[in-house]
Amino acid sequence: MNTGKERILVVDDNTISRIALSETLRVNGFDVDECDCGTGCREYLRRHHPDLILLDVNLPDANGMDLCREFKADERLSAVFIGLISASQITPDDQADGLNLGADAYITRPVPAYELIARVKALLRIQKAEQALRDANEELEHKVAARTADLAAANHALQEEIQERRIAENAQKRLALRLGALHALDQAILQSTSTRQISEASLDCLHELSPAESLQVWRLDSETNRIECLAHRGAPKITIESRPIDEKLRTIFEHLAQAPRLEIPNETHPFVTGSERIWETLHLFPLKAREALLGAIVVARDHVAEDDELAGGGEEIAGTLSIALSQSQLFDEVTIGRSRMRELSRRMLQVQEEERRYLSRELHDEIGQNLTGIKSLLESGIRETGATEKLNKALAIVNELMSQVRRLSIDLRPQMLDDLGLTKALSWQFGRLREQAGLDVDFQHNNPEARLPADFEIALFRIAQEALTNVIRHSGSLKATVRLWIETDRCRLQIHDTGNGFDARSRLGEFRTAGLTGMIERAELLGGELLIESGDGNGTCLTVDLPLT
Amino acid sequence: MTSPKKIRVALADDHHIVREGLRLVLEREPDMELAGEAADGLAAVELVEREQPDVLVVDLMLPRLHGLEVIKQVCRAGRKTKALVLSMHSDEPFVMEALRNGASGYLLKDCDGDEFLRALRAVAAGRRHLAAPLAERALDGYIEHPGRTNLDVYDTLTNRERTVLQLAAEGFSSAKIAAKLFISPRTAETHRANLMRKLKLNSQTELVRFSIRKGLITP
Repeated sequence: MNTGKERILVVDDNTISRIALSETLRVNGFDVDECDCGTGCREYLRRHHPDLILLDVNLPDANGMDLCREFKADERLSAVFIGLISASQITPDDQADGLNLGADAYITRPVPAYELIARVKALLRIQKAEQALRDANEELEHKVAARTADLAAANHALQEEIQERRIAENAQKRLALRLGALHALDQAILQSTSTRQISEASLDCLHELSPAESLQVWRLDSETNRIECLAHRGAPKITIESRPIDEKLRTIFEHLAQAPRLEIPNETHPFVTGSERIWETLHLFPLKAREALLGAIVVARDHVAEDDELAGGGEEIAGTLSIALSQSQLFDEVTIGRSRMRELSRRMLQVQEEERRYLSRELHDEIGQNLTGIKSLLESGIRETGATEKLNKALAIVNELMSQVRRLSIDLRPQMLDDLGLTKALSWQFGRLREQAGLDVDFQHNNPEARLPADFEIALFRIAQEALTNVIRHSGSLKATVRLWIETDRCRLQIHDTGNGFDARSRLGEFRTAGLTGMIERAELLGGELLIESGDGNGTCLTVDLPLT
Repeated sequence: MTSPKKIRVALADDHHIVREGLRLVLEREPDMELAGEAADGLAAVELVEREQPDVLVVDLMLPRLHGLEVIKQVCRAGRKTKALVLSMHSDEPFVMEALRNGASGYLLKDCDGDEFLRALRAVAAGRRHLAAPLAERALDGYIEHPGRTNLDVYDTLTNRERTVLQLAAEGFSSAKIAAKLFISPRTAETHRANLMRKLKLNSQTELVRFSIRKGLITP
């Protein structure tokens, strides 16, 4: 029963003194329970929890001092104040002993009622204060515990978050690495010109992403059933260019045609013959274009790192390489086709020039020589038998024939060019143009004795011829400047007129003027370039620049 | 009366008929003597070394060694043999080249026997002889317009390259040049690289120095 008043247990075997105490206390507003022996006291305390026990030191079944010691040792009763009361043991030593045992007060009898009440009140104040202190402590401890728990929870959450973030960061780092590698691969593909270069770039990217001891790109030629190593990194050194595929490889390629990748543990390298080395894992990524298997990337490793990027990265790189390879194969074919065509053009021009040179010599030296003979015969006939109309006519025809043959021979191929070189042949050609068409050519050159390779001389001569014909026909001007610059490693020919000019691009694009494209082709076949500048009111300037290597 | 020393003549022509005809003409002349015949350039040089004739009648279009080269070797300083060209070519450059290489005379193959003999005697006597049409036409066309050999490499640049050079010398970057000329920066860079290669300039400093020398910019 809790009345809000302080509860006091009075333990005394002497009925009178017990009642006197109890009543005094009750009168002063305390709840009081009574008990007359140690056993009863223990019994009581098992069920109740008084604020204060006034304990008689001398009990029939127990010593109050021992009880006091016993209760103070009891955790459950630690908040209960104990006042020892005695009428017999009242020396200062007794009192000190009691207090040392843990008693909160030692009251000696007789004690006046007011003193008893005052002391009880004082004790209870202390007890309350201690209780409050204990409560406060307890609350504080609760709060601390709660706070600690909160902190622990927060800490835990933080740890989890850090962990999550770390995982995310790692994932991001790997993604960045992979994207970086793919980007580098894209760049490499853009800059590469051959399938081999592209393959090498892919292996470098893959190695960057996930280091491996051995990486190769193999191309499969499904028509001839041969494989060819396009690129390799690390061991083993691949020396063979191409070899037929065996049964084992055929099976592997059949698997690869169906899967995005293949992983083979503890195996020798199936693509490399004669190697006994057992690899911990072999990863194979198929290269496919339009469902056709082009080949494979093979990665052989002995050590596998954590956070391995090989599987995903390998598939992506294989995808990129597949596209690049199929495109670059087309590109290779076009390049080869173009260089073949170029070579054919070059040979055709060569054959044409050779044929012209032959015809020119034949016309000039053989037919011309014979005509000269006929002319001499006719002249000596005239000298010996006198001129007749028929002989004179024949002589006139022979003369005409001779000049025709000569012109034809020169037009086919000026012997001058072969015998005297470009500068002199051009100079002479400009003299002819002056005579025939009234074209005034200012010819500037730096090295009149220099001889260039025959195909260069004829190309430049023909370009000059064609360009000046254009000047005469289209420019509306009869003045031109020709500059010929020859040095050890380059030569340059420039034909500049001050005429109408034209838009070179529209000429080239729309009309495909045979002369212009022919000139450009001649220049390009010799590894040089031809540039036409026109349309700015400054006439037309044609520049051919050729490397002499 | 002592007969004057005969003129010893060697013939070099790959046409048998031509040599035949010339031999017939020579044999009729008492002051002429045939020193030998050759059908190609190398044989001609050997023949001259061996026989030391007064005159070598030589065609330009010879197999194995070009007639121009034969003349050059035969007419080296200190040799007594004179060269008389007998050629199908009436084009001035061949005439000029033959004369420059040391030939004393130049005849065309359609000349008559008299002119041939006249020329032989003139050349043997140390004079020069040019076929009538060549002498008449003179060589003015060729001589007056031999071209100029003082070409400046700057003049062989394209118009665009000259513009780019000017702007580069004035200190504009390739990007600025491109913007000014409405071309791509890459094209501007190409023009710049090309003109530097053509002018054999290796740096911006050299470019500026060249431009100052050329008067494109004032220092």
